[in-house]
Amino acid sequence: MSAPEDAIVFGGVGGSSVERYSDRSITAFALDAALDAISDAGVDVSDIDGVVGAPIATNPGALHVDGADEVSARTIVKGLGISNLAYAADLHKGFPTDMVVTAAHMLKAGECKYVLGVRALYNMRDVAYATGSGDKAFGSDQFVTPFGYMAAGARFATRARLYLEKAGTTREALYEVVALARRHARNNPYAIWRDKDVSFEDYIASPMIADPICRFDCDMPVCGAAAFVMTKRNLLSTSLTHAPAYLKGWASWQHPSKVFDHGRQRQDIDNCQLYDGFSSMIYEWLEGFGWCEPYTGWKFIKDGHANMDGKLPLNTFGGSLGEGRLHGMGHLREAILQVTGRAGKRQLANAANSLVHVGPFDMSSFVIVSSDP
Amino acid sequence: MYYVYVIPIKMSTRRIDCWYADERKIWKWQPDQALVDAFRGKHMVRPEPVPSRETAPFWDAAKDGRLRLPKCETCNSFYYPPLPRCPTCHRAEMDWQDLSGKATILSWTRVHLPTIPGVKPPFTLAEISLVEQPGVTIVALVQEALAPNLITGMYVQIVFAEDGNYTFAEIAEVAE
Repeated sequence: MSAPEDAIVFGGVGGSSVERYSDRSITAFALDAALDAISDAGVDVSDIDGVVGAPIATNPGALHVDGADEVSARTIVKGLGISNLAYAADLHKGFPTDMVVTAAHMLKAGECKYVLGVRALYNMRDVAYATGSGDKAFGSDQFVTPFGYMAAGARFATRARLYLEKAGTTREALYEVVALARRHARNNPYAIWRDKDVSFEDYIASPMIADPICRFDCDMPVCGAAAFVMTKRNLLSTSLTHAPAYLKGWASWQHPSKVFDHGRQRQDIDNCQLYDGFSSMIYEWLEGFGWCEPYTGWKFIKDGHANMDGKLPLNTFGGSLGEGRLHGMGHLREAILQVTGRAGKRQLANAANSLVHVGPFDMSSFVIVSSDP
Repeated sequence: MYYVYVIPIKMSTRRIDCWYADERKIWKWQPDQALVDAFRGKHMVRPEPVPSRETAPFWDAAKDGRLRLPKCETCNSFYYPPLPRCPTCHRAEMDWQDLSGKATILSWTRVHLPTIPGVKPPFTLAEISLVEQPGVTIVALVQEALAPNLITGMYVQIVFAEDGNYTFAEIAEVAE
């Protein structure tokens, strides 16, 4: 198929190892991922003229220190010795999906030819991951932290509880998501929970975090990074040994259905990578985009429709719940690997259009990654 | 000239909940009790709100046990948290009014980690919707007596209680 010369493509994607803890810094993981993606794209560091990141550490106990639990575009540029930079942007409170859209804008504006996107996460030792809070509550925190709303997923737990009530079901509905994640993590070499299935009995016995969310409903904080290189089709490296992936949809949080305004319809989507920082999040857009009726998403999964051979294979790499908390970067990487036929043992027979969702509920953003222009 | 900064190591930066501490503790989870106790100790009080000009009237009224919110008279709309401007008409002038504190329960969760300094887990927090203007949502802790009896949509009463150095909204049963 002939593609427009200036079609926006992913030339390469890459990742670092994913580890529970490490004595290597977050910058080391970020640079591993960046170099892997640059190599995968068949270009050189000297070709990179745009960098985009979304560096915020989102946990309540975050330090927000560059090189500790966050890594900025400046640090990436310096760390790789990039000297050809036209533009770099860090998106505050953005997601990998937002990084993709920003990279596309940088390319479409003509400012950049090869945009590197890097997102790294880090699990700090000796830092309370989920429970940090200060003595004082400044700004919007004054109505939040004295009530524990942002910590330990409490604000997602209230939503999950109401979902279960309205669906007329129990924690079984959340277990279905966890079990799916573990099944799909089996064939993901990066996955923290690879070959570690969890029984319903173990799930129910797992410590409660914020009812109904137990430990297994939360993704695992990890040290790791993933990266991509985006360019235009006519600028793809001649040494590329794989097909590029095309960006065929994008939407920000207010109007999610606009993701289908750029050449792909909902019915074109053959696999989904939906954000699962907490298990309950899966249902929002599985139902929200109409793949099943409201409050039936858990049955959709239970009935096998989200399996590798189901109607809509879901989080085929195990999601954050199976792989570890790369905050949506794993979802994006999986979409690119699937549509370019490079997902190894977990390669789907039909993977032409993958929808990637990152973010909690109605604060999400979306992209569609496709095999064809 | 050299400056030496002494940065106190705060309890809040310690890993007190063994959050994914190691492989063994995933399967058999135990909080580090010494650290949990220290966390709840006398140095830990609930985070103290630092009001701005926009939010100070709320906290001042809270100290007197009143729920007071800004209302845009043009748009006939209350806002919580207080905002610098009405997002509809962009007027900066707000008319502060006392409300009944009567609300309905939207949802809740019982939290089992020590996520609020000075508050011993487990505790329950809830999202409530004000009767004067459904859709205006407040998040607060639920009184322990009410916590086991919560029902979606039930009427509750916002009361105010001192905790640490501040007065916070609490969710209580509606008095008969």
